[in-house]
Amino acid sequence: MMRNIHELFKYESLNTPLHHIDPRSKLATIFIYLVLTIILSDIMHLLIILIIILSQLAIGRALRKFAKGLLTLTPFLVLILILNYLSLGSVSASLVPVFRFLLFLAIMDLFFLTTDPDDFALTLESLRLPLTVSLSFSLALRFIPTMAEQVNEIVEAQLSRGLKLDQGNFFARIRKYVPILIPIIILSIKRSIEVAESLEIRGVDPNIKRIHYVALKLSMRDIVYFLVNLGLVIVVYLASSYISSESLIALLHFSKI
Amino acid sequence: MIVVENLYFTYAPQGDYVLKNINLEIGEGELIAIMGDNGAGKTTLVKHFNGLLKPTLGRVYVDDVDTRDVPISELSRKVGMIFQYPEKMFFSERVWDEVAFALRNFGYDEASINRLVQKILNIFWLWKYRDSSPFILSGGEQRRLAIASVLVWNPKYVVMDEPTAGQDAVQREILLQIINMMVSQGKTVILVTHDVEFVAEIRPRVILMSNGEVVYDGEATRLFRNPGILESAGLTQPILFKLESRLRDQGLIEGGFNTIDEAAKKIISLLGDERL
Repeated sequence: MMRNIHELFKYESLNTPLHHIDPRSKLATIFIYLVLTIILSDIMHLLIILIIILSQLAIGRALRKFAKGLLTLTPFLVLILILNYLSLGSVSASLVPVFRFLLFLAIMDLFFLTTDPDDFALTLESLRLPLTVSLSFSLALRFIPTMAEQVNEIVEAQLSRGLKLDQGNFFARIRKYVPILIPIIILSIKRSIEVAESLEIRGVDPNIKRIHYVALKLSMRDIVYFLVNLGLVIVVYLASSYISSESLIALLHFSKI
Repeated sequence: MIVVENLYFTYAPQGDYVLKNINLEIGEGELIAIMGDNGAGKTTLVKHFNGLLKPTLGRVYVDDVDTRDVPISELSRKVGMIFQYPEKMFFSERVWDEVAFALRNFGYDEASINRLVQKILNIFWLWKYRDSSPFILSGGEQRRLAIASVLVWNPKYVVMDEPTAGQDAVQREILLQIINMMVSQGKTVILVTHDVEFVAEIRPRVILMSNGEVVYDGEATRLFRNPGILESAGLTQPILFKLESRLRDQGLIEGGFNTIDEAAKKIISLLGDERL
């Protein structure tokens, strides 16, 4: 199950309109969608946002990848649903957090699946974030595939020592991840030290002003992309106060009578 | 016996085959080295032996059991797999628990666990560390612990992936002893390696792989006298055999020598001749 998680955010260099949009414009766009997702709490509204995001993912030819990643996360979605149902006692109310989680994923994918990690690093720096922050962020992203590979290795090693991940009740299963998580944490710490050292010997110094070989340039297209999305967000937000799933259900009832 | 029949394997559904038409029989008590350069498919092949990977096409049988029909945990009792850098998988607070982990997974009772762990820790000179953290051990000790934590359940087949990687000369010597011990116990030992010097010291049956195919299967000595095949698989001759071919090319010796001692004797006798 854990083996494909990294696929969720793995960038693939494709030639689609979305891949050519300036990352800053994309970042601003996903930001407004994230805000909208947090503000709205009606399933129908969330569904509309989802449709908008999915159609953009389709343009970026990232829909299949998103679906694949989603499949691996289905157990988590079910878990969110169950936990919320236990505390809220209503299926429709517990579907909201599930949908929100799904939307977060889709929105994040919209950015990460269509943005070159190098461009992402440039974006963070252009936002005037300190180098230590922007570099750690882009390095973290860069190391997701490496880490996934390592997870795979460790899972295989522990399976070969008789670990049965798919047996026992829920809590027993969680405990079975200890022999996988501990080695991963230890290896990650070791690697972070190695990476830090290799950065230092290659002259990375957060106190020196850096210049860039490639500079990001905002074009008309990038601005239009953001404005169109901003328009969509505003329309969905304004419409949300007039139409909700309850009013729709009431309307359906009304038309039956 | 492990039997591989027309094995093809690909990681991605429409991807290229990383293993192509592999046919092998690995008998009981055999010592085997699977050799080849990076990406030849060595590790992918051995992962089929304990069911971590299932054939895309073809079959793999372990003692007449089709690996597709049984879970990894069941095959692992027969086929112990020691991965490259096995010390990466440690997670316990005590050496003892690290070794007992697999036995608990396989459902041994406490009495047997105590007996087996004590025995293997003694064999591997690790008894004094039983209550220490695995992480305070030296590199060589960690490697030994990792091997012990697999041999503890006495698997009939033992696969070691790059056992010499990152090990110094002393540890290699110890590794040789461990391998000899396993062979004398009648275990089938399968080494995955590109360390020609190490293989030259143990002279097992060599299965040489290149681009997912088996290009040679036979005696190590014969392979090492054939630099052509070795180079085509991205390997070079061990020093001893390089020396042998140089001397033969110069017409100084006929045939070859099998051990360093033999080589030394020949060279000394050659020197002796010159002095006369």
